[in-house]
Amino acid sequence: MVTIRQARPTAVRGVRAAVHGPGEHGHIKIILYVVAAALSLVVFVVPLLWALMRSLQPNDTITAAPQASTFFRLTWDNFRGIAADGHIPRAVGNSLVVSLGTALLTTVLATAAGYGFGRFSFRGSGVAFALIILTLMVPFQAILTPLFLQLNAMRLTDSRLGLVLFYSTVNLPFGVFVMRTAFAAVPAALEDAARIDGAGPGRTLTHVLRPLIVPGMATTALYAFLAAWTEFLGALTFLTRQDLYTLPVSLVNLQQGAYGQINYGFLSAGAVLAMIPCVLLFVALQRFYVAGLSAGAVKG
Amino acid sequence: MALRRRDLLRIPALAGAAAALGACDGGILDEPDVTRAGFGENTSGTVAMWCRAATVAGVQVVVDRFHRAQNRLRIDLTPVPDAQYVTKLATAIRGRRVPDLVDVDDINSMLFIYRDAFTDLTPLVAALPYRDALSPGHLNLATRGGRRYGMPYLADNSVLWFNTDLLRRAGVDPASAVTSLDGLLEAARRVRALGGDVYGWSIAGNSAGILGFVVQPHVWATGADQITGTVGSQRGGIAGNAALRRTLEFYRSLWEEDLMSRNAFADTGTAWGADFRAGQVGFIPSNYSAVVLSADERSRARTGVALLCGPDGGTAFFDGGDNLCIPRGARNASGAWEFAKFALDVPQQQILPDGGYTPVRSDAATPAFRRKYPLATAPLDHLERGYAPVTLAYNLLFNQADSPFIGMFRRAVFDGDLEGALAEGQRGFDRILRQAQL
Repeated sequence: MVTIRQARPTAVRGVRAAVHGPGEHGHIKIILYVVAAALSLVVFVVPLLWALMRSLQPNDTITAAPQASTFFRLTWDNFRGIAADGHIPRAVGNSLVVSLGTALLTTVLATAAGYGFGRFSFRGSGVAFALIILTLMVPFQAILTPLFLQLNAMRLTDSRLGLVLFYSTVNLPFGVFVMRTAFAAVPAALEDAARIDGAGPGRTLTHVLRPLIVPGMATTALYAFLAAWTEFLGALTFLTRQDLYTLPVSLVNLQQGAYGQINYGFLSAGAVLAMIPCVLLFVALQRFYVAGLSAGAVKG
Repeated sequence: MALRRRDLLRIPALAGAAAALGACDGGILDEPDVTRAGFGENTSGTVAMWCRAATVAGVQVVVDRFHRAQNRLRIDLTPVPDAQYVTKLATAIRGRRVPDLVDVDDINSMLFIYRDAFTDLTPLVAALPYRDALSPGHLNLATRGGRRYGMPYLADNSVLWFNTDLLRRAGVDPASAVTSLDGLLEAARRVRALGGDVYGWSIAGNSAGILGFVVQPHVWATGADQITGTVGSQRGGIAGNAALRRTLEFYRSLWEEDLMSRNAFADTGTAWGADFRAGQVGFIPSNYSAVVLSADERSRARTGVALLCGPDGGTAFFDGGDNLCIPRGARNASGAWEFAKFALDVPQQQILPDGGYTPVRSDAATPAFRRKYPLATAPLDHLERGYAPVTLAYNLLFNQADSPFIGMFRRAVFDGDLEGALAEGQRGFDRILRQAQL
């Protein structure tokens, strides 16, 4: 975090120098800057625009060889087809509930665990942390059947709460890792000062440390949200009622045929639809997200 | 004795383990009593039904009709992606929490029947007034030891479609061309001679599922099969299978003489039938859904249909589609059967083509039906020609991307190594069938 704060003014100064800098040297800098920015824009924006373009074309146009005569014949049919299914709005709602629930629960638990691991030393903390990180190595697909049996025994299949608990469990190791590093990066002097002023661990966390660990929390929340928003296999396995299906399951049902045929029109329209909350959330939290990730990278 | 903190912590862990073990308790689920008086009549409550995602549009229409016809019984329909259907149903059975009714791919029915997961419906099927009109291929895939564990519901058959416009321009008489592989090869040459981007034949040569679906009927038309023996002692019937050899030679010629687009080599079938619908190929072995359902009026008007032929005559088609089965442990089996009977009634069967499938009752092909869906009746008029092998290893042998069938096809057709392909195919079939028996 500190690194970022130092780096930013430098970058801004660099750009200012490029814009206001004297002579030919400055012009070359401007040109290089614009070219680099334009290239970056192409790399990041063109795939999104391409998906948007395809979502407005009929399936047969997408699968046929590109022709100038049909390429720009755009239609809302794919979006209409998805809307006509009737289950998609509900699936979007389910996905939002499950993803936001997962993001919230994961962030709260990971913050508490990260606080413990990052700021307190206790017997076995190293082993406990290693065990948590070790679970990152086990793909949940490998233990899907036991997971189903366990959730079923606890009456948590066919339940959005069950799915939230499952996703939170899967996302916690990474969250705990991020939060531990976020807490570890906070100067000890701050905590000592709070303790001298009479604050207990809880009050220190909520009143003194909170502003400093917000980037880590945002990273954890965003990561958990995206993971839950895009997850398919767990949702398919643990849900057996159509009115509880999340968006990925509903979209796969809609776009896939019996012999592997794919309705690319529906696929693109579904991708565009699914992209919207991700883009909104990413843009809203981008500042924290980048800082949180780099904090994790530097202060391990 | 006072509990220590560590003991308290152990309690939830032990409770969780006990719950999991309870759920793991093996054994077969209870079978509903289908012989009791009034079974399947005037039922009420809710029926939890699963269907394949590929069939949901058609099934939903039937469910809506059922709800309009009465208000005692509700059908709670859940579509499941085709590729995950078997895994998901098996997991549900393992968790002892099954739906009341499943619309299951008929080729997969046997996997569950041989593991005692489905209810014996023999007396119910025998009591149906139209039992003799039901698709024998479907029924065969729901029968073990003379007992019926499912009822046919919808058909998804592989047949040969041709573009009548192209054939006329090429001077091909479809009626005589479709009776032998030599006739088809010659017709494909003439169509290709029209030049440009027009090809004689189309196949998705890199899609295991499609190849198994459309290539095998050429072999079955002669009475031969690629699997020999009954479940429990099956072996591959590849080496020495003359009809298979001729079929692979036929495809090799189509490839070598440039009668199929080069796209066939890599085509995984994601846009199956698009080239035919666009009027660029003379023949395509495919199904109603890919060729007719998404075609426009112009394309339909120029489409003709025939059954797939053997090398020197005979006909067959892949009797794919779905069976309706009631899993053991179903809580509302009676309601499930009432809906199943409704779905089999002629009015419901006759709207199946709107969802891309065809009826499983030969008596559904009334004159009005023929007028409305002229391209949907070819298999219905010859239901006895429908076939699909009874095996527990169909997915491993044919459907998976690394199946021995697609390996053999590609080596024979694209690499031109027929002898090597047949030898490798025989080994692959034997290996899988040895492992996949009960």
